[in-house]
Amino acid sequence: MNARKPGAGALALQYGILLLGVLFAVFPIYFVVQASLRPGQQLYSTELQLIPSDPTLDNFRYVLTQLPLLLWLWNSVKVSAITTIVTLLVTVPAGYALSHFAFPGRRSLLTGLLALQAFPAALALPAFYLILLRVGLLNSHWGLVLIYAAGAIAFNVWNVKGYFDTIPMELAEAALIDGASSTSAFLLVMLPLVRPVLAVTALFGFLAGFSDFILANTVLFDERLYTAPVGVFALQNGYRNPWGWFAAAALIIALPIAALFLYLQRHLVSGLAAGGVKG
Amino acid sequence: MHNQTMPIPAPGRAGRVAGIRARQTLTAAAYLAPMMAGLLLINVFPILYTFYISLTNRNGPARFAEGTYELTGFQNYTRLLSQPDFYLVLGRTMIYAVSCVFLFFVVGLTFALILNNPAIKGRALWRTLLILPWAVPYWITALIWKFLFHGQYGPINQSLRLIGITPPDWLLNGATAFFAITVVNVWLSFPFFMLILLGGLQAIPGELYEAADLDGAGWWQKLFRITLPLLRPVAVPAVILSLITTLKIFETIFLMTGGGPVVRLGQPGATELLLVWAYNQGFQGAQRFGLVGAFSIVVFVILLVVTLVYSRVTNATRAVYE
Repeated sequence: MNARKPGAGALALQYGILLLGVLFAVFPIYFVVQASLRPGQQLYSTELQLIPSDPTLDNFRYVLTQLPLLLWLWNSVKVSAITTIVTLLVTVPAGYALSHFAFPGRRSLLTGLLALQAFPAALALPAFYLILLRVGLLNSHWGLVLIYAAGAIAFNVWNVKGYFDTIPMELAEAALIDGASSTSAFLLVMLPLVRPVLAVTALFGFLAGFSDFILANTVLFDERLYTAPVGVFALQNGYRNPWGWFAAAALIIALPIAALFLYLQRHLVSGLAAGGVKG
Repeated sequence: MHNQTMPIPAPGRAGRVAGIRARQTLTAAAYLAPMMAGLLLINVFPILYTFYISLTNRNGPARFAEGTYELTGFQNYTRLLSQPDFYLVLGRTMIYAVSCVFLFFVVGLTFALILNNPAIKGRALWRTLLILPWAVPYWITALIWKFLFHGQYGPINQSLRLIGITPPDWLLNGATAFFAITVVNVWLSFPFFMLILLGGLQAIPGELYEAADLDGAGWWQKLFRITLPLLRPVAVPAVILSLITTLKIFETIFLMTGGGPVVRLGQPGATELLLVWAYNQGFQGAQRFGLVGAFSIVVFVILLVVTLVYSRVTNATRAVYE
């Protein structure tokens, strides 16, 4: 498609489409930014105004001082970070084994993982509730970690396995011949070669913990244990509270995740394309 | 697991191979153990439990009360499958999923093609801006768009009024609410498709296009004869996976519309897609765990069929392209 030199018109058209796309992608985010800077009820107007006339940081001041937002955010970061670590510990060795070892039942395990994906877990809240009740992890961050990390196993294991498939088996074998144990061949030789997929898996693990609302809202009762979504959700209920409070809190919450995304984005193309997709 | 691969001479070749096999199986078991534990507890158990509940008449007043209930066989299933509403919702969800995934693909491909063009300046920056929606937690996304589509205060309607159009109250009107949840889903998902397809495009050798140019092929010809067929192995799994996730869509829509608006009394709301409908039936007002259980299992079976088709198709494409 790009072998021939495109004409100026075609190029202008492409820039035009890009601009439209960026407008579509970025406008909702811009809208939150400007809403967070508006005082009180100013947003509730029928007239379009894209730049706040008298911007203020009042909304940020309110959510940071009148609400335990930083505590909720810390809870979220804690839950997500532990989820990330557990996700990596569980899925990376499994993906490696499914890619590089021959053992009976390997194919059926892979198909089984795909089949589990088909279950609508959003409706299994009663089951999750029961599990957490029985293992004594109701109203606890560890219960959330358990379900977040295990819930995304299927996708992550397939993605990791797909990436390991692209790494020649001989590299690990060479290390073994040189006298390395199979554990150190895995840790020292293979892992550094699959860095992009580690980044992607970590990112998805973090996202699973950071963006859930429904489950956390169901199993956390103690306000001091709330994760950020649970705490902030109440802010936008009805149009009584200034939407600016919600906007300011949402920005503070979305900031770490956006930063992580941008930091890891160069891995996203290779970590996903080679793994999840080639299967 | 600290085994050397070079074993001391073994009884015979067959015995040695068997030994290596057994050891590989053991090593594999150790690497797989944590995953298996997680799968059994958090993935398999809820399915079995849901199936069990679906065979009972468990309908308690309190949210997760144990209550008393008894096995009633397949009553919930017959009740669910004899409801015309179920088929209405199922059909609507399928239309939604197919149109969404089609749009993800078209929008994602458009931007992937442009970002793959070396003549475009600042491609890394464009790409970063375009994947931003992906970085926004879904519950924030849902609440932002709820405001953007707001009849009076939403900027979409503010702009439409500015150019003299009397805008609809998007989320209070059946057809426009359906349109709105489609737009939101495209916003959420096109970055994923863009990245996947961009990866696929980068793997297509440029010589193919040079040869096509020599043959005098036009832009559309190259798109349909070279680009799309070669993107197939990358695109097919992504398409089917998102078909499954879109059929299962819940949180975004639930937070945006709650399944509403109700267009005709006594019928499911215009955006009450499969899981939203089931959630409203089972966990709002009356608690009908048994019915929701039956519903989950039915959806599970439907998606299982899609999944099996998926693994068939990906195996087929792999056979062709690798």
